[in-house]
Amino acid sequence: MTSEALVIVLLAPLLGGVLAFVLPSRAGALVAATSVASVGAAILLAFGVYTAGVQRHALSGWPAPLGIGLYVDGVAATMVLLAASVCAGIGAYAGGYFRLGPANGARGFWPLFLLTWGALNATFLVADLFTLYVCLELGMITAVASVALQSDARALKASMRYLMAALMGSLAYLLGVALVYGSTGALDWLLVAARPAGGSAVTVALSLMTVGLLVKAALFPLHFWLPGAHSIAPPPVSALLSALVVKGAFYILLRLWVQVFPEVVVPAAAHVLGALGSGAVLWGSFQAVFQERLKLMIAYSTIAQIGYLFLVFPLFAAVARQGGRAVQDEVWHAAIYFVVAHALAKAALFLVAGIYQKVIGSDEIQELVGAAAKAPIATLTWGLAGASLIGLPPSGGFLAKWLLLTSSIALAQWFYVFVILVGGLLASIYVFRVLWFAFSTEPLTAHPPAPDAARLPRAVPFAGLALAIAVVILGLRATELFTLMDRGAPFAGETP
Amino acid sequence: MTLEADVPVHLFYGLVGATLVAMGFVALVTKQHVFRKILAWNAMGSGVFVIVGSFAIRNADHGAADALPQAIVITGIVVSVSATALALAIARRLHRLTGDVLLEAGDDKGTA
Repeated sequence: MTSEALVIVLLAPLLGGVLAFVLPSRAGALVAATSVASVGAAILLAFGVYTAGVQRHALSGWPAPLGIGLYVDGVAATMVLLAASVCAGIGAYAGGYFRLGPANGARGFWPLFLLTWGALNATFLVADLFTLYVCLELGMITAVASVALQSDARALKASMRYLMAALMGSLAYLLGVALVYGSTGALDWLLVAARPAGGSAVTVALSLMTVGLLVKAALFPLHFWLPGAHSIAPPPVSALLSALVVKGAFYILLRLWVQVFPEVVVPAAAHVLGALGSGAVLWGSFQAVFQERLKLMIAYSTIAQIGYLFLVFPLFAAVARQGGRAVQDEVWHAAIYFVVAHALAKAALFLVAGIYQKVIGSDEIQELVGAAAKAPIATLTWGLAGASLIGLPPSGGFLAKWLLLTSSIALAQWFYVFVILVGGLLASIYVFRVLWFAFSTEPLTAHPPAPDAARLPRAVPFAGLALAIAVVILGLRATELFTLMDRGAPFAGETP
Repeated sequence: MTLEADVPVHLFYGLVGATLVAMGFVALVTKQHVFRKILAWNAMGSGVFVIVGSFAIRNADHGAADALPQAIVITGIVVSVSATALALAIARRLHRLTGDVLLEAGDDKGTA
């Protein structure tokens, strides 16, 4: 049962993407079918891991050194489930959104969207470091192409910048993979982890892979490509990129540092990542507060939120030095939970930005006056998702930040406590600033109503709302997800 | 006495690959012209492939080169061809729209 679900999760989006390219007239039905199949299979897969523990699968029956292994632990199942939920929401939204044009926007969007989704699923499930490179490249190429969908000079330049940065990152990663193979003779990360190979080659390999993945995950100061690419892309694409594509790189990084090369990592290196993460939180949040354009603001907020994720590395290093298994579990939960909560909330925010853009006819935050009356459901979505971004209870974001905060305090990492609190404060400024304008009733500048406003299909705002409600539920019912994450977790007592 | 005994061939290829990677990296960061960037990236990629190939020689067993690095290089070439094709397609459209294909540094907000 679980292996069937695994096959569907891997193949459905890729197959759907290819078919949507060949049969553009049927793309809507194909996306709906893919979404239903993938969400169902992801739930089955998560349930299988929840009840039966870690699942392993050798593709075509070829075992690891030669063939490619699939490895599904709780984290992988969580990520697949997350991708399915976010992509189903984005798919439902985009169906209505692209009806308003640009005319050929949807036609290009559907295949790229499904292929990106498929690449992400493969990234979460594959245990082979080189196949991970191929998955990263597939996801990157489709993501770059979907940024270029609008095909004006601005979008083309942003996508080119994104492509060049990502290509450099992937070559660094590939070189690292080559060095890992050269020094351990294995590519499957479970085998690599089981063959402790010290020495400088492995350190260089891990450094190269880390730098490459940092570019792809857009950690400050390697984020330079993100604001342009994520703010210029059409809103459904921005949602996909900000919510999931950057997380793919972080996911591999987390595995490499915590599960594959824990003995290679030195505390100083972990604190470098922590310092960069802190810089991202502070700098990204400050930039977000001062942005005039809504989508650019959300893009800078993504940079800040990515920064939070990297605070877990120094915390793991502190655990290794000071001990404390309970705290270790908490940091692990915090990392994954933060990814999940941010993905849902950030996708919802970008979807809201798209609705505001259609309703108000502008991307300027100051022009949002009266938006709450014109788009009440979108504004409610903004409030719910924004609360999670700030870390207000009850929401997934609150729980993630709470775990991060309590473990930082338990480990006496006071600088990171400060960063987490200041980041939350700045997030509340930029989230409430939008609400402030949306709820003001007196127009500061008179402008004609956007022609698209009336034609926006009624169902469109509800896709974003569903994601925002999911993030609230995540804050209320976390126990099941924690149990799922612990299946095969590196320190939860249950060895893979 | 063969060449392998004097100069380890895999080391030679490894150094050539590293040089290519370094040259490509410098050009990719410093050049503004998109075609130069694409060429630089391809040089970098070739360097990585040469390094991977050097492992195939080093791991050679009774004269037969290790097969896995070859599989990596072939897959890598496929990936790099498609990435190059995408980059060229974007560059061509950019050229048609704006008449030039420069990526200026420092314009990271997409306001150009």
